[in-house]
This record gives sequence, C-alpha cells and structure tokens, in this order.
Amino acid sequence: MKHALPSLEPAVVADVLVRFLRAETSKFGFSRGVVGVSGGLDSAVSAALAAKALGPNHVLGVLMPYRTSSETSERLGKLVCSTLGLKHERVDITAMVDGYLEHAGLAVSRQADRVRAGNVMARARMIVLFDRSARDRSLVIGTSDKTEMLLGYTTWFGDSASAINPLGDLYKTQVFALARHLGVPEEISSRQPTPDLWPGQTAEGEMGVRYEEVDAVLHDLVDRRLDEGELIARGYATKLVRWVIERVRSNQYKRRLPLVAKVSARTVNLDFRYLRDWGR
Amino acid sequence: MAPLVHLALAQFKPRKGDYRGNLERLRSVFAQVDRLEPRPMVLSLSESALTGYFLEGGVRDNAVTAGTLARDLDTAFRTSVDAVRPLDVVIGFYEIWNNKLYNSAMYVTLGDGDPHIHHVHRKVFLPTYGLFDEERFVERGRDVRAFDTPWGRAALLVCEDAWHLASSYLLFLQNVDLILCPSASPGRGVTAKGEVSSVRAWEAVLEAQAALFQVFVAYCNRVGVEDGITFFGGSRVLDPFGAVISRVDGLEEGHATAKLEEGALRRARLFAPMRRDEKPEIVLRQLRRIVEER
Repeated sequence: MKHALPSLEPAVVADVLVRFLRAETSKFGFSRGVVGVSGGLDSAVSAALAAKALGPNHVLGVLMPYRTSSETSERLGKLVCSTLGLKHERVDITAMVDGYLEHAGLAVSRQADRVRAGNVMARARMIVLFDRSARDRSLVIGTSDKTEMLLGYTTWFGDSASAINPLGDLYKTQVFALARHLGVPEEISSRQPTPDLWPGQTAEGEMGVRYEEVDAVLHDLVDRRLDEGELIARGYATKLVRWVIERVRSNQYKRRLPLVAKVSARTVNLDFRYLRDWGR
Repeated sequence: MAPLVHLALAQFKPRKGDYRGNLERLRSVFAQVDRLEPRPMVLSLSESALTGYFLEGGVRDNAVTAGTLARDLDTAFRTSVDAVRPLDVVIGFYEIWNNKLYNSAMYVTLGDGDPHIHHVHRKVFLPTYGLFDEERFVERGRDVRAFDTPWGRAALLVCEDAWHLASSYLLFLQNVDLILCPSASPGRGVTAKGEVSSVRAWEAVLEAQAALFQVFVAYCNRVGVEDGITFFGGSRVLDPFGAVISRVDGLEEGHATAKLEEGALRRARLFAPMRRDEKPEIVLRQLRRIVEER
C-alpha cells in the first residue's frame, strides 16, 4: 500500500518560517545569521529562508569540505550562495579533523571507524559555525529536518547544533516541496540526500529506507498518534514500523538537553522553568 | 437602527515580559482608536496582552492586580489622546490576587474619573496539553458570569474557555448580548490549501457559538512569535447568526471595527426563539444525575 504525507501549502509555510527567523533573531539583538552550506537540500532551504528573512547581505554561507568530501557538494554549495546572493567562506576542516583522528587512532577509510570519524567531522563543522557566529555577532541557523531529528540521524552537538532551526518541524519530503517553492536549483533539490561524511554515502542507503516511506510512517505515528497495531493495519511493513518506533524512542536523548541531577529546591529546567525568550 | 455598541479589536504583538514597554506601545493603539470615526466605545485586546503568553516561571514576575492594571491603562490612555473621552477596554492579563496567580481578562472604563472595573473573569479552562502548560503556572477560575454595561449585557471568556461549550451556554442563560474573547492562539497545522487547521477550527467554534446562543462574539487574538510559536491573529466579530461582520487579516498588527446593531439580536432571537424555549431546569437535573453517576 502506498501512503503519502499530506502536502502543505509552501507559500504559507515559508511565510511562517521567515517570520520566525526574523523574530527570533531580532529579539535577541541580532540581525545576522550563519549557515553551514553543504550543497544538500536542507542547508539550501535554510539558507534561502534566512536570506528572505534577514536579507542576503546579513547571511553568511560557510562551506566546510573535508578531503574526502565530493567536489559536487562544494560546487553545489557555491551555487546556493551565488543564487541567493550570499557571501560565502570556505573553511577546509581536513587539518582539524585529521589532527584528532590521528590522535585517537581513527582512520576514515576503516569501515569500523566511519561513524566516529563522521561525528568528528560534524562536530568540527559545528566549531567553525559557532566561531564564525561569535566573530560576526550572528546566530547559527540550523538545518536539521523533522525526519532526521525524530530518527536521530544527526550527530549530537554536531549538525544538530544551532541557535534557531526553521526546518525542525518539516519532514524531508516537505522540505523538498518548500525547496521548489523557494527556487532552490533543481540540481540540489533532485539530489540524493547525503551527509557526505564518506564517499558514496547516501542517507537512504545508510538507513535502508526511502524518505517517502519513512516520512509517511513518522507522520502517522507522531502527528496522527497511530499506534504500532494501527500503523501495521494501515498497510505499512511490520519491520519498517518497528524500526521507526525504535529509532524514535532510542534517540530521544538527542532531542533533549543533558540530564541534570536534582539536589537543590529549584533546578534548571526541572522546576526553574522559563522559555528561552524570557525577558525578550 | 440604534447601535448597541461600536467596537474595535486591536491585534497586538507584545514584547515578551516587557509590561512597561508594551504599555507604552499601547498608547499609539489608544491614539489610533481615538481618531476613528465613529469613535469606538469599546476596544478589545488579546489574552496576556502586555506580557506575552508563554511565560512559565515568568508569570509570577509579570502578574499584576486588576487595580494596578486599570490605573496603568488609565494613565497610558489619558496621555495618548488629545481630548479625553471615556473608552471601555477589554484586556487579558496575568493577575495576582491573594497570593494566587490567574490568567484573567478585565472590562474597564478609562478616562471617566477613576478607572471603573466592571468585571474580571479568571480563565476557567486552562489548557494543559500539547504545547500548553497553563495549569502548572496559574490557578483555575471558578466563575462564568455576565455583567451589565451602559450599552448592554456582556461577558468575557479567555481563549480555551470558548472551546468548552458549557461556558457560552452558561452565558446564554444569563442573557448576554456580546461575548468578548481575548485569545493567544498559536497557529498549527498548515494544509495543502494554505489554511491553518487551528485557525479554521476557531472559525467553526466561534460561528457555532454565535449562532447557537444568538450573541455577538468578539474574538481578539494576537500576532507575533514566542519561542518559535507563531500566533495567528484571525481576530473577528460575528453577528448573532454566526456571520463574520468584521475581521483583521494577516499576521501583522492591525485593527478592525464593527457596529453591533441591536436589531440583529432581535431578528436572530425572533427567527429562532432558542432563549424562550431553553429548559435549564431539565439540563440541571440531567447534569446532577450525570455528575453523581460519574
């Protein structure tokens, strides 16, 4: 049985996200944003929204290739910046990453080390982005979509780290639709999503599922609150349903701040509760 | 036909936790409303209009008494218009009273001697689900009461109160002419047609209440973004047949005005005499039985 995610009117979604970026940047006294532009879909859409919200002159695109990154990624990253009129910087993270990999005895070419090495790259990029944001008094604009966040297909404190994230409530297939509305170049919106942590890596290949399928399951599970039995009765493969439920559950920690052991009468985020824009 | 009342709704975007700053910004709204022709008699604002809505622990820091708010509004109003003419204001606020916190709304007359508070309604139905967490931070009100104004009989409901049909049913039994509903409703669920599910749901709820209970309904929502959550406006006035007679479009600050005609109330109530035919004693007997059997 084929299931499809309900479509969203992209013009309305884009309007909400642009207002969100503008409000949540300005209320903290900022007017600039910085986006890690990978040449992939999510970062192209985040950059396009940021350019609309803050103006292209107020958004910096940062390209951060590692020596194994594909040339296509870098070319498409530059294409995003030039299409949107963003200033961009290229920061090669090879020296940063290799310095640590050597220290830790890891090799990106070794299958067993790939995930750890990939996490090091994602966190190196996070360091670059947050450093640029401190230099330029700008906010790091996130690029993680709802599919990645729910499945935990992110590096904790790596690509998941940002100050504000316009895409976190949109499934990957909805980001595709938004990309078309925003005029993201076809070569990017039709490209297979890839974290590009090692040659030939694709997100669907690594997870072993298609975004179209997994998004439909996630939407029915999370947004429509169907349980396992109802999902299977709707015609989803039992194996897929169980895999999704387990991924969502086991990756909850990535979506939360670190746990704090309660000792005092009032503990940060437990019973000392304020929203982030408190007093703004 | 004599109007019951001229009403204005101001869709406002408060700065979070900045009571004084928002009060200052409200002065330009007062000045703008005062210049309207005909000059409205009543101005409605949103829920938690001077503080922002999602305050959590900050509710305690931003709550004021109704008396303090009335005096502050009166001063702001008097200093924002050239010639002071009385204005009735409906406003939502976090209230502190007897060491308890409430999510309240007030109906107050400004610019006519000391400010006169006609009524304070404390929100009864506190949303504590999904993205809402109100009952953790404020107390539940226990009264749904109509009150008289110089132009007719009115009542206040705060946002979620309107989603419980019992609220407006109780007001219907108290013969209200106008229900004023300050709100802070976030938009959620964009559809393929570009509608927002929560806005569409509000439209249906308000239309049903106006038509079923044959009252004018003035719904005033806010705009702006708090911690990633966008408030979707959609402020509107409905007549006693459930038709929208005035509205504020878009996600920006703005205002709408409406002339509420006494004749519309009479026509609706003659067309279908729901008030005459209502049998509250049967409802009461059934409610007693249902509550006892629960």
